[in-house]
Amino acid sequence: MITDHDELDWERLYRTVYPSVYRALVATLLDADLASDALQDAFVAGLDRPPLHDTNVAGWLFRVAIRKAGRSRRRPTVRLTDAGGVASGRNQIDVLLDRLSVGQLLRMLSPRQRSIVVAYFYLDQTQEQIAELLGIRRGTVAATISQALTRMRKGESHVQ
Amino acid sequence: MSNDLRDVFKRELDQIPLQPAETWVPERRRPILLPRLAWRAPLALLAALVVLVVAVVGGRQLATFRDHSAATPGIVAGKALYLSPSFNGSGWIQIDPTTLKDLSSKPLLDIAPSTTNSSEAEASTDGSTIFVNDFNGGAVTQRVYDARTGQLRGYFVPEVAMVVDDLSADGSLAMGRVGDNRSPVDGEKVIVSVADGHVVRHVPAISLPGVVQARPTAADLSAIYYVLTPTAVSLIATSPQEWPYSLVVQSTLTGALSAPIPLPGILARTFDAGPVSALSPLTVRPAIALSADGRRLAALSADGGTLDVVDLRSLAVSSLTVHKRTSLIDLFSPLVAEAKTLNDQEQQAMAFTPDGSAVISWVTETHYDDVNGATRTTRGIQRVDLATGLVTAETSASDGIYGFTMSPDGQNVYLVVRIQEPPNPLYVLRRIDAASLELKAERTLPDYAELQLLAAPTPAAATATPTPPTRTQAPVGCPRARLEYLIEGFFTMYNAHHSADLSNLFKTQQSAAAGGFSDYSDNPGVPVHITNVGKLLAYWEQRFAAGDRFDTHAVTYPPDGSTPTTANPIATFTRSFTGGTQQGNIQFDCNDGLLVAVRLSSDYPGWESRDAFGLRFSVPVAWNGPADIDTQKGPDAPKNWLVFNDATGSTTVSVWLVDDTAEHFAATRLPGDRRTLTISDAGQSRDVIEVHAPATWSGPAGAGSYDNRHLVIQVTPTVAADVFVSAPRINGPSSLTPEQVQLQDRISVRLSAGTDLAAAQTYVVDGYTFTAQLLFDHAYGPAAIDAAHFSGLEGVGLACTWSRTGNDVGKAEFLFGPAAAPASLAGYTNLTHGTSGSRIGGFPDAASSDTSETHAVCAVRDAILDHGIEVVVQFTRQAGTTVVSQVAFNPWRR
Repeated sequence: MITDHDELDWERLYRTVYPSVYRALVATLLDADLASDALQDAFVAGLDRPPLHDTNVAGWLFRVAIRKAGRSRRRPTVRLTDAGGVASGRNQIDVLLDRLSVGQLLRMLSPRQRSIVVAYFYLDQTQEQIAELLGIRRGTVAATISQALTRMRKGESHVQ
Repeated sequence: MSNDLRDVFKRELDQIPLQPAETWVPERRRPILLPRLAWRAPLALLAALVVLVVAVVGGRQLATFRDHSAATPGIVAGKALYLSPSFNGSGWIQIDPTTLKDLSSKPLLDIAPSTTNSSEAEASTDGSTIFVNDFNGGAVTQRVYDARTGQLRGYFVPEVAMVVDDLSADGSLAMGRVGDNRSPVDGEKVIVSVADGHVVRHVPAISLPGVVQARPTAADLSAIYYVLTPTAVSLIATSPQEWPYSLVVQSTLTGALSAPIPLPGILARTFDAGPVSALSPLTVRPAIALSADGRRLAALSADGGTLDVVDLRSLAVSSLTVHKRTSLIDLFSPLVAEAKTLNDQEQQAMAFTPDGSAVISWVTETHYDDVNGATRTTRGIQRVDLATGLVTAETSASDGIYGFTMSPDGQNVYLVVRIQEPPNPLYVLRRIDAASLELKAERTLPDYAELQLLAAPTPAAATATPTPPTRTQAPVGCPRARLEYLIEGFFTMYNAHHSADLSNLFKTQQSAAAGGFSDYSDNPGVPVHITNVGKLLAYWEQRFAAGDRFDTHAVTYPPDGSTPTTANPIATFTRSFTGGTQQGNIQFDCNDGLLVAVRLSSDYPGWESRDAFGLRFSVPVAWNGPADIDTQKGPDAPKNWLVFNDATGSTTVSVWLVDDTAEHFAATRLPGDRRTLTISDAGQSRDVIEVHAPATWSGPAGAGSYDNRHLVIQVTPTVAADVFVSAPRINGPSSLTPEQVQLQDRISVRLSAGTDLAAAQTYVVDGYTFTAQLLFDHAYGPAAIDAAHFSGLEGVGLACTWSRTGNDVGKAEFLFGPAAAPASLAGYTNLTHGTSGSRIGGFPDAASSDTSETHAVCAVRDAILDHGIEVVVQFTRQAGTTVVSQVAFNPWRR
């Protein structure tokens, strides 16, 4: 179990990578609230069972958060935005992603493709790291990136 | 394409706004997602109520309901704000980040005020650690405090004399120049563990192509970012001048220096700014800032119109034009104030917002007054969006800024400003909104004070008070604990391929004669014996390029308890590298707390391999040889008659080399009992022909007979070796001792063909690729037909080719010749990627210049360093001719 001292270290590591992992999650989940929740849950998960090594904390948090987000999405729930139709962070992110060429491209991809592409191109994870994090073969990662690039080329030929 | 796409992803996704930093971390161990969803589920049933609530709060965003932080008074994102009115750490008082009022009357550190201005205090970026340095004459006492508790953690006592220039963000490492503060900024540095003072790594001295204007460092001290101008910026230039800025990055891990990276549009300038006087120059300087995550460096031009951002991972520079949506008050019209006196200057300053999405910049005009000294006024504060270059907020407050700190959540900016000039200066602390730059709070200060952003305070634990050190350099000796540190560190750093860190385990500051580094012996296929630290680093890099790693090791340490000054433990190892594996022993020689020698042997501790006369011999280190004692070379004599002598000069083993087969040579040249047998040693075996050939001797002291044991070995298809030992010459019959037979077997089992002396070798050095090769041709010699064939070594030439594989480097020269003074063969005004050169000539040195070794280089000198390949030839004299016996190639830098 993590100690108080470790907790401080874990929080320090977490804060260091938070901006990049949060943005990667927003780009993958296309939902700022879900990204925030999932990342906080990943932080708590790290308190309970920290990663074995601190060399790729960003990758670890990204993977755990993606899984947490997946579980929460599978559960029937009503989000406040859905219920109230109030302008939220999600709307702001939608607007922003609409404006960004990368955002438009990511919308063409499946969630799984987005997670791999974002991990590769934004979080600087290697194909081997992504394969290890997501529990898939490296060849699958390479193929997914290739497919995603193909789809993106068709959609936006200027991003090469 | 991947890198281009990565840039696009980073540039665009970095625009996604972050939530306030205090919401990043949930309350400790709060229910995770599942319970929270369970909490949310009933909301579906209460949707109408939710709509009502939302309406009541007037459109507050959902994030407001999701504020996860349990607010602690005075704490923002885990940090607390302190006013520090002293340089010696006394009187640091925590203040409220909103109201700016004191939160405590008790200073953080238990340090009394002092009237002597001989101290300085510095906090690590994460606010966890405070360094307080007290200077007293030539001595400095460096105390380390825990910023959370205010407790004295201990004293910083580095292993080497150094002046601390930088702390890592977490306060665990200190980097500084070796020596004292008179040492040059580009001189050798060390990175030292703050906790125990051990040197973590050395950072080699460099030659910077300019004058340092700013020098931020990476958070983990892995890199130093030198922002340079070609020459010093003169405050008294009386004619207009411009100094372009560039960036040079030094890795503290490898010591490597990048090529200069121009920062377009970033200039320091001096020009006549009036008021209508030829002697009213005004100097303007740009601003430099490093982002909180250490990934970007920004430079803002002196006129505020150009913002360059450098991605410190790719070193790509993007240049933005800073602009405003409206131009009602254009603060970016030339920021030229009237120079009131000589030396007036304007300095842009800048800081990244914590989320890296914007910078906040301001211009300080410094006016030098003979009566009141320097006074400052501020010419506008702006917030500039880094994605678009748009000025999103600005203020024209003119009070001189003397202190600037941004809250860790990015919400507020804290300024110490002087609102009244001397002789009765008055300072105030202000809080302004970081987004709008509007003034939110103000507090008058009794005197000048600095701002410190430290880790949130926690109760102090009961710990023993550290005692002041009575020394600055600990005599650590070589006790078991130190040996474990050195030897385990050797294997760890070797396997991590960190040559600079590895060298820190060695006593490199003293000569071998003074008890410092003496030698490093290795034989991973080619024997290497190194006595020079610079060559050792190059050799390690060569081995690391081959993927060399120790797979296993076991060390026999001396028993604990004693504190010897020296020790020589031995380890066994297995290692692997490209093209081979090896097992053997290492002897580590420790002297006064550091390694002075490491000897790797593939067979026995204290043995080594030597390449000579086309063969590779494995023999005890203490032996001399092989030396060819037959200088006459009669018609029936062996090709070489080699002997190895022990330290007393007595011959231990002799070897004849013949161009023959072992069978024919033994049958025709060695009378005596002959048999074929298999000899074995340490798991290796070989078929040999054994011949016992007794002999007699007589002399004034007596007479006797003695045994000679020959082992004839077919070493190569055309060369046979006769390895023989002789029994002692004593009165009467004499037989070989078991030790002699065992030594002979060991040497014979391991005797093998040597290195191909004519093989070419290639090194990639700092963006160049060099290939060098010895040429064995009688055309090369002192009596050669032309200058190109003139050689210091008879019959030996040198061929070298090189090409530039890195980026363009500007002016350069092609160097070739003796390592101490190579000649310049060609010059380039701009050495571009793909440029190549070559030279074939005599071996460029005189053999008589040294007695056993000749060094030559083929290199390129550019604005940073000389980079090249060094060829080291060892030679011997045979029958009046100089013969190359060993050759080694090393990467070369100078």
